[in-house]
Amino acid sequence: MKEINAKKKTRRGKLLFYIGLVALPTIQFCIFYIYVNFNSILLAFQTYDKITNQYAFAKFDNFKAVFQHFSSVMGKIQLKNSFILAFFTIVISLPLSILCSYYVYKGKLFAETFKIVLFLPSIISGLVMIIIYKYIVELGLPAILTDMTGEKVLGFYSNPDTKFSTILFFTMWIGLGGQLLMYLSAMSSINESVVEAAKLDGVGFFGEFWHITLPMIFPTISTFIVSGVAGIFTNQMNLFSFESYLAPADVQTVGYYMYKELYLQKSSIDAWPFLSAMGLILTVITVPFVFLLRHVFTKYDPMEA
Amino acid sequence: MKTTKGKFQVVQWLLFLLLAVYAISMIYVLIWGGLNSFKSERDFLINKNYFGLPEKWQIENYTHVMGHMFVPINRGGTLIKVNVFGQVIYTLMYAGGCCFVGALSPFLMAYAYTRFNFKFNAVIMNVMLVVIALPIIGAETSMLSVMHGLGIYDTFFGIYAVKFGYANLYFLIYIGTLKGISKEYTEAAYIDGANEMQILVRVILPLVKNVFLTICLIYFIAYWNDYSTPLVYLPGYPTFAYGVWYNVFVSTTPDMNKTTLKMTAAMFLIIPMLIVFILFRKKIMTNLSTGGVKE
Repeated sequence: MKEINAKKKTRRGKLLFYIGLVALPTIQFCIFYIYVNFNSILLAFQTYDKITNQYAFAKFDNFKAVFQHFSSVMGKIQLKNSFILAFFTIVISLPLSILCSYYVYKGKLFAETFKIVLFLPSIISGLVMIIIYKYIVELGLPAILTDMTGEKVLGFYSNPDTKFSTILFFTMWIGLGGQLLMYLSAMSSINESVVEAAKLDGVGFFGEFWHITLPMIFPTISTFIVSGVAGIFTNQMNLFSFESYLAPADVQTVGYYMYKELYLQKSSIDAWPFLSAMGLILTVITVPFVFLLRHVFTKYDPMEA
Repeated sequence: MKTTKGKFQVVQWLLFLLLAVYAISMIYVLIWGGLNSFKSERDFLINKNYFGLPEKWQIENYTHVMGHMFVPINRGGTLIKVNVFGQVIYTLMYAGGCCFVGALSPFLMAYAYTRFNFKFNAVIMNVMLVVIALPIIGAETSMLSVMHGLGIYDTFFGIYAVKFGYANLYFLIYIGTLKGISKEYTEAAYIDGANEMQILVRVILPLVKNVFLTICLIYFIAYWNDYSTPLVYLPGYPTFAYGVWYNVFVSTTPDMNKTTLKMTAAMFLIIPMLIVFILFRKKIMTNLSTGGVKE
């Protein structure tokens, strides 16, 4: 009997300690995830009456406003730029990033130096790099090209014809070392005996990458591709750091527009329902694609084949 | 498998060239910014000395920025100018507090998940998987609304509460680390009569200390550089990054409205993190993985 009571006391003690561990994070999650997202859905169906200072049910008015926004010239440009950015990020930048990580993983010439340099953008503020980059492409490079060609070359940043591509290039340049540590971690977990066996078969640098490394780190790659797709409508392309809230319409992305409006309207309660509705619509559009992509990657994982 | 060694060595050399150009461009940009931060406006803009050494090293650019990089804020109806010292204090409070709570919350949940066998563990893990899998867009305005409603908007407590989330990759990293700790440690402590708190503090924490500190460091660097979150959620306590952003992009005061001074302000933001990186490079660049910490 004493033993049973002692066991009960121990289990009760463990339970109380367990509750002590999980209570605060659970409460935080309930408020700042569940309630915030529930409130977001509620806000999307409301409008703020400035006369009565109260929210009122607005049916689908906010959603109509969102569709009107994306049907407008500015909205279409934002969508177009978001997709262009996603294409360059996922189709061009991501493969280059993986290849660079592979080069570092193989410990080739200056690999350790490149590893540090690729990691630098994770340490140095993007804002700082943008400040310096803007002056280089606006003043420095045009001066060199003007001297070389004898013709006046406009600043790449202020020139409307090159502004978007200048910003896009920066985003890809600064993002080359993105997720470097994650890729290196995944590559490091590849069984050495598999690599040795491949080398005995005469596989070289790229052959090992294509036939062994890529398939074995496929789950990591697919995670970042899915993240890239999930982030199509949130990626600002560093525009707020380039232009603050004054970016011209032709370079804006959806992510930039949403953050800019959040910043400008942070004290304007009446603007929040529209932004919530926009977020809800974009979430509803994105989620099925993300789940479909995940399903496809799981089904066609080369290691499961 | 075909022998591809000779043919595809080209890829290796192309990658080397790409990385070499990238490394040179990255380092050059930083040196360029650093050099120009020591130039006078006349030297840089009028003489168009974009690439050369300063005609005269203007150390006073740095003292000028330290003395003139203000951020005006409205606190209780009074306009206050927050100077660089104030911005650094707010940055340490923001980055320091957020990195600690950000590293603590996933640790607490991971410890509960790995060390105890209660049914709620299934909820902890499933919630984490849902949060990671489900991309939710545009909840920031709702977050503003909730923070205003709770009366914690524009407070450090509020921002710490927001950052105290556990459902992220570091939760999995902690699980991997904690699973790697032999249960013999805790069993020996139970036999010695230690209670749960004593086991956590005296046995487990010393063993996960490195992972905890690494995660704190990674978060600290990210929050030091972050201006977009304080801009929206903590506008009354401008951080240093916020100050740089404001003075480079918004402010039109003659004191800071010079190209070289803006680059000086940018350099100010980099220098502390470069020092941190040099001191803690191995710790920061360690391979945190779900299997534990790899050097």
